[in-house]
Amino acid sequence: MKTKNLLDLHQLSGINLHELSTNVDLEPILEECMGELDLLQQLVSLYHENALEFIGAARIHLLNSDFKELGLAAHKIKAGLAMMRTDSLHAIIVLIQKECSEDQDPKHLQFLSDCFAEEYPTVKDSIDTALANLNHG
Amino acid sequence: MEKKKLLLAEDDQLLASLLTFRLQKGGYEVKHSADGKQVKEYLSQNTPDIIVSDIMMPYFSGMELIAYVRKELNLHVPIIIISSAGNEENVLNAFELGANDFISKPVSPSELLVRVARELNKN
Repeated sequence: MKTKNLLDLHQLSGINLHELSTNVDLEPILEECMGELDLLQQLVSLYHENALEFIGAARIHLLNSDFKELGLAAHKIKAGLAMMRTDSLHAIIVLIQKECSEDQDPKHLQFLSDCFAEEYPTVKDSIDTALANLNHG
Repeated sequence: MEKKKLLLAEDDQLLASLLTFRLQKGGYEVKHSADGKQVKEYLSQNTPDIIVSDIMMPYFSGMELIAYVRKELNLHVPIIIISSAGNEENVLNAFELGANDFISKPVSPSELLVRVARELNKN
């Protein structure tokens, strides 16, 4: 995980996220897709759309202090992050959802959302590289 | 042989795309509905052989869907619920309302295929 706030994230969350890698292995998903690269490509596009939608929605919900909606947005994206095995983003989303249902600390939620937005481009690059490798493999 | 009709109620397009593909490959005729409005509309005119539904959906939750199917439509088609991990209370409520089985997220398409076949074989 390469979030520049990694140390803070570790301290605030109490969870060691150091071991979470941004390297993405799309082979297991390709197997689930029965080798259909077109379907995998479609899933990757949806994944990116969902992540960007979450980043936008999180900004709005934080501005409105609408933690219920933020929690729902986190819930909505969580399964996709797990499915694509993007562990670093999944770990952040789990923390956001937990914070929304428990303490609802706006500063912590802002921090976690910023972590997600910072981490996403790195994960996106890894996914796109993994997909390109499969396409050329 | 006529294909079994499966209603997939799931608002996560990513998961729904993968499940629809695998279920179709598994020989089912899949109708995907992304929210409760679409589910109700479909059920008003069709009777699927089996329903697979997420618990959290816009407009009409998986719980409401089970209650609607069992009490208002009085249908006894098998219902498999898709639930997030750590949502045990919802799963218990779903069983009380009449769900037949559940599967936890992240959903393994292969496992879902086995569970769907098992429920259909019971009938």
